[in-house]
Amino acid sequence: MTGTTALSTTTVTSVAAATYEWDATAYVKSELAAGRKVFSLALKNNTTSSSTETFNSREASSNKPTLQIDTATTGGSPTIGPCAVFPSTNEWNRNISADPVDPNSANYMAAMNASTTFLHPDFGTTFGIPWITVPGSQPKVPMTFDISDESDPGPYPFPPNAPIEGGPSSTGDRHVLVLDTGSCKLYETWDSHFVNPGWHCGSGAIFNLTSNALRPDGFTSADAAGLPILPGLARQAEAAVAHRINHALRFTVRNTQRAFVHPATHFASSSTDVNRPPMGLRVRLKASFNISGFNATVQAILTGLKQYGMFVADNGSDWFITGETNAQWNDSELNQLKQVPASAFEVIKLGTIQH
Amino acid sequence: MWSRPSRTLFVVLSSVELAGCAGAPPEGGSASESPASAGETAEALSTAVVALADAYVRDGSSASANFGTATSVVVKNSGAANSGFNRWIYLRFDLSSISGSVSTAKLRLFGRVDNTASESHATAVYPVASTTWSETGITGTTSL
Repeated sequence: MTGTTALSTTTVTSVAAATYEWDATAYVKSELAAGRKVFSLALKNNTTSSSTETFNSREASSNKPTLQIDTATTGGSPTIGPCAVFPSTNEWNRNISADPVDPNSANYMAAMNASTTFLHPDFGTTFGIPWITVPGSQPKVPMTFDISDESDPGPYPFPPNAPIEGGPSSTGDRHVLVLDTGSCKLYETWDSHFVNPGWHCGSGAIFNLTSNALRPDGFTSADAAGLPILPGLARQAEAAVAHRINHALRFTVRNTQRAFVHPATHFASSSTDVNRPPMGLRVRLKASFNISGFNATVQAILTGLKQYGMFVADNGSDWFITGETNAQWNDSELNQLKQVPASAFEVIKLGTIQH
Repeated sequence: MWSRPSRTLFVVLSSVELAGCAGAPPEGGSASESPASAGETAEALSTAVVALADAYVRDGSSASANFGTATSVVVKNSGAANSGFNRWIYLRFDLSSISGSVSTAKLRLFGRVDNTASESHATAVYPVASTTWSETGITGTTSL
């Protein structure tokens, strides 16, 4: 059924053919807000006349009917469900494309073997780090930690079947990431084991996603840098569906320094080599790097890396980017990341290095 | 303050290992963007989305004809005294490719009033509930 109230009215004249515009902003916004991305419009003439109005259709060779959409491309926070993932002023959400390069960038890059390494997607359909959301009503269960002095005490809203990184029998990092969408608090653990009715973990951290507060200096989290994990994961809905990542990612390198820079609060190395990257070091893809030959998913990731970069967040294989486990990823698409040389990155100016 | 050794394993991923580490797929929210908050500089990105389908229909003796594949779309208001010569246009769009917060959406059509004499028509756009009409099937009789 066609609505009876016009969205807008424009005067079309009989002078030479021209582009005419009708504002449909309010209607389009309301349709999108309702989750409807496909919608129809009707055009009618309100002036009685013996003359027709003729416009090019989409079957014409040019000047086809279009909907001209303007979107805001910067500003705001990424969101998961009802939760903004940290305020828009948070370091994770800061566009660093204009930040100066660190004076020691070349040495850091050498220590990260950048000249001989390519990016590696450490995520896909079957591997990566899983995460779940739970409602505010999710029962909270008791927690015990190996590193209890640096962990946020329980209870945590972990269901018994919360997905564990690598699967229930994994001997790896066994991260569990749970976002409580009632409180917008993020609960993350490492080396996680369900011990009825609660969980025993290596360490655990709670992040209030409405706050920019860091963990206390010297405190670990579920990763070795004292950082949250979920905000830095490459997520399929962003990279492969929306084709836009508006936050920093996280990656690993083999050799880190016994030091951290904010927003990291913790290190996991005994090396005092000042050329090794401290935890929290942030790199960005150089603006000059040509991404036009990559698929749309990889282009979205690379654009995010130009605008928001990625943090050294753990020890691991050099230049492994972490992302979520998601059956919807296309692994062969992600494999194009392996064509991006680490040497196409640069280190942005670090904050105060703490030991 | 070094409290413990590094934890991430140096795993060389092979197909055999991958087969054994199928993590549960995540549930949870899809990502989207929220509008720029006050005081932030929002940079506009403009995208032209071409109609997914378009057709005009007629009443009167051509009410059962379909014009969906024509290279033009046509509107006409023939008036009550001269009814049976009306034409109107349906357009369908798919904004699945759009991400980010929409600030403006404008329909753009290229054309004119077909008269050598000067003439001006008030032409209006209306919302249509159906999104499933067929471009090659819609007629004035089956119109929405």
